[in-house]
Amino acid sequence: MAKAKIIVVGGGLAGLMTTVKALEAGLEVDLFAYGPSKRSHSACAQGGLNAAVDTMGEGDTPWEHFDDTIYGGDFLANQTPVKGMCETAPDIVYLFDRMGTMFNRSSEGRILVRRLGGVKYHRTVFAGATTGQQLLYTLDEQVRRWEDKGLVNRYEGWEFLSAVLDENGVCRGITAQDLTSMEICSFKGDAVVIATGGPGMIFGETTNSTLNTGYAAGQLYMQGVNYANGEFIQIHPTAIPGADKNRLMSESARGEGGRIWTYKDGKPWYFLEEWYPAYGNLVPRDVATRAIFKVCVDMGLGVDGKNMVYLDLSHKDPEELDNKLGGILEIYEKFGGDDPRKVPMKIFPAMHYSMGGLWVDFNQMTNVTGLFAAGECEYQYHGANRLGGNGMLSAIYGGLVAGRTVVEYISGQESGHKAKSSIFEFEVSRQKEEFKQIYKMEGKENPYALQKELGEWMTRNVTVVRYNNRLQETDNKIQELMERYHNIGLDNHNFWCNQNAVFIRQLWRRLQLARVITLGALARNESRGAHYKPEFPDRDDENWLKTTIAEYTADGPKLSYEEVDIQYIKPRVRKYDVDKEVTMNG
Amino acid sequence: MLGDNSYVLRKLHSLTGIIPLGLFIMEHFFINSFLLQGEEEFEGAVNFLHRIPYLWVLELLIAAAFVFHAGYGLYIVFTGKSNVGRYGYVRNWLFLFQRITAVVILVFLIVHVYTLRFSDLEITYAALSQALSSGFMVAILTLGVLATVFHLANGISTFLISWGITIGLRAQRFFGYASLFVFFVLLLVGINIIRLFG
Amino acid sequence: MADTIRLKIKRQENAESQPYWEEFDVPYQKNMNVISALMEIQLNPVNAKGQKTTPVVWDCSCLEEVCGACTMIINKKARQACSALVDQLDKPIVLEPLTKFPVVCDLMVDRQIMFEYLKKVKAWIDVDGYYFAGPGPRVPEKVRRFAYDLSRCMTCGCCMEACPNVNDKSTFMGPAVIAQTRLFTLHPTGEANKEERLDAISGKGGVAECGNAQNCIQVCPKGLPLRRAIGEMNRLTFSHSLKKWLKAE
Repeated sequence: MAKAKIIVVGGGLAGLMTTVKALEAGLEVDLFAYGPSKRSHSACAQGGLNAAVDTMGEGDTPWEHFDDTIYGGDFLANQTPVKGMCETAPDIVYLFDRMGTMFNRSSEGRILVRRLGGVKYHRTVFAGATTGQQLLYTLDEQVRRWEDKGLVNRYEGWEFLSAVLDENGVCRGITAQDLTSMEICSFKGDAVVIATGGPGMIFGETTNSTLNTGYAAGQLYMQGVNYANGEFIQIHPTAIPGADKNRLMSESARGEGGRIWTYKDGKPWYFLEEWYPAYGNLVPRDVATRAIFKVCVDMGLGVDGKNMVYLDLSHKDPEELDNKLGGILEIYEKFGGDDPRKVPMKIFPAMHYSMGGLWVDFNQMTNVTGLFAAGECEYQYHGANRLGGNGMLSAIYGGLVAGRTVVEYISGQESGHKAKSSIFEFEVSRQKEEFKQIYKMEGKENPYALQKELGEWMTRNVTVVRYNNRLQETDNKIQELMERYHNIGLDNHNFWCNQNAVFIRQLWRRLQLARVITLGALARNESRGAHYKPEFPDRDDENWLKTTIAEYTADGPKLSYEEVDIQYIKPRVRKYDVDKEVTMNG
Repeated sequence: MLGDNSYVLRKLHSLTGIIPLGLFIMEHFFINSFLLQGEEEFEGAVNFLHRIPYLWVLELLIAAAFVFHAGYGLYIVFTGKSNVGRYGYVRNWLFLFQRITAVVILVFLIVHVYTLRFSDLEITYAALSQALSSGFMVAILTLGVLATVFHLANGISTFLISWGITIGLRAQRFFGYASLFVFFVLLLVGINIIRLFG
Repeated sequence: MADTIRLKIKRQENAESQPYWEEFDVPYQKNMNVISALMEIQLNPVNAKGQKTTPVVWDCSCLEEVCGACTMIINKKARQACSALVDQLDKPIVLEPLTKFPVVCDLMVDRQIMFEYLKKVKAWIDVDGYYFAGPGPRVPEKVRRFAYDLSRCMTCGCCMEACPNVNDKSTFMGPAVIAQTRLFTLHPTGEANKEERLDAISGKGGVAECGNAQNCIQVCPKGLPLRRAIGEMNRLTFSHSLKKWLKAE
């Protein structure tokens, strides 16, 4: 009998973690990605990985980590999986340590930790300021080890096109396209794990990579996979604005002593330290972002009257900075032109992460049987706001859980190899047909211009501050763009390496997800974590302590809601001007 | 032959450039420099060389080393593709010059060895002086000396890198300058010999 | 009228077809990089002669010089297009695909060979499994720093592009894989099977084929300590080969 085989889509941290776990359990893996894993967006993660390893003897515990995560996420995250993640975090760090990740070390050669936002402990392990890159490379090396043994097939330079579902709605495989030869094929798998990352390109200029297209999540949503908490979009407080993208300036810059300020009455004004004395510059991202927004937009106090404030490291020892933050200082120097060891950096918030994503159960399985999701493309671990250092952790942990549960799932299922070949043939022909239609597009619209418009609207109205009338206008705009989509003209009719036709196909899924995000935000009349409405400035647990679930219909997303698992920690007021313990007592 | 043994061949190639070929050139320059002491001293030194026991073994060894160094070196020259036009860094130029001088030396030495070792020319001051009376021959010889001296001096510095002796920037730079010094010293000695014959 | 920037791009439809040059004028913006100039061509795929053409194909991902995808030859030097700021470049800006790898289309090349080389030297740690088995070996911070610097290699191919000894006539695997071999012989667990790695890197295409042109040190965008890595591999491979020969039965 043939070995059981799973399909993993996505070559970042989550996908690779699932891959090695499944390989270890004796499965074969087909791994699909846009390119070599080393080009994945995980490489951009900078600050580090949270784990209560407590190597500094502060008395940090996984429970504290769990509590900070739930509190930081404004109580919207289901507590059972978050608890599992925080308890496993130290083991994850040690696993990567064994696999050779070059974490910064103490003088005894033990793993060093630093502080990030929303936390009072030194809890973040790091490898310079390119931690994501280092973790990603470590897993990539391990996958290569199995590749060398011939047990994993890497399909690099392929786009996942769609899930193949049988007559019972069970996922039996995928269709995918070779982005060079443009050939469309189907692949059978006993289970499929989606680990395709965030949908950043919906917002145009973000801190995301260009391959965070949102295609896979959008496509699966259209195939009936529920999308949860889409309206929760994290805006990172410190990014360097750029013509092509906004480059991240890691939270670790503040963790290592960086201070945020601007001029007020001719003098430096450290507004975060003034407004949030308990956490100072290390408030969570949503809080810092709103503060910077207020200072620049409402008070007009941005540097040189522009939407910018200073992030200042110039008071720190340059050698220590190079050792702990080298990678990000290099980025600022190369792209911004100034030396951040000498002068303060100019930064402004930018779209960074999606807390929402494909709905999954505690086993990382979506509502489609046999279809799993892990990493940023699912919604499970961050609630209404993600803490710095929890992103990579959730990707790895989700990948780990998925790697484990697919094995259980497969052992309890009849083999996918028995699935009728007609379902694959049908799906391939459907995908070929859509692609053929794109080649026939001869309208006047340029897809990149439509994308730009979408990004501008989403960034303007569906990020930091949200007003219901503007959300409604944005949804109208998206629908208008969907109309105009059909009037696109294709500029490239080659059947070889046609990036333009692929881009058009992705754009349609982005427009779908954009509606999910916008309408989810429009419906949620409260303020919680990253979702902030001045018209409804408070958290409303009575009406809104629930998960948004968007279901695809031809007329647009149908929203429903699901209860949140709050069995361990009772919701309490979330405020960062005082210590967390104060909120627990009163 | 080049397959699995390529590491040994590379190392041998690098080694033969210094021992025996580098040493031989030093000896050659040294013996010729006896001219400074006068014609008779020079001829005495030459005669001394010819009276060394087992000279033929030494000659054979040096010849074998040369054939190998030149032969494998040509292969190395052939597998390189210079790109100083795009990457005009000092070491890249040195890389190119090392290969150009290799070819120059090969041509020069074939003529040089043939005329001085295998012809019926007797190695006396008078005969050599006669041979070097034309400006053309002087130019050829000068070019040969220049190429040889460069190839040896730069070879010493790259030998130290290839054998893992100089690893850091400081050591590599130091021996880079040291080889520059060796280059000039040997060049002066060589040109002085040509001048004395002329 | 707004300022424009002239781009001269070497294009090639696929691996077999003949390359040709095409020029574009794109609107200038402050702080723009080569990527945003290429994005302008997508928005308006018209060449400098005013003819409609296909948008240029290129590879990119992170746009912050950490993924290595957008490596190409810009004004004769191999580097990443994202960190190539237009203000700092001579005009017209000349873009070519890397020459040491097969062209896929226009500026996109296939660098798979670099990953194959990593397999040859077994560039990974042989862990027992992906279960939890406590902390790994302690690593002195000093060793960690050198290892970290080596492990920042993005496999972008700049070093191979600039190396005169990497070309279709030679077997040399290039500097990147030598640095990775050094990395994995440095790690305490990786050192355990250092022999296999040293065998591979002292074999065909290995470190002995380095010609000491040292262009790699100059062009590496991440400033990897390639000098030290190659130097130490020269030393390690020699002592390894000598010991192996002396001990062989």
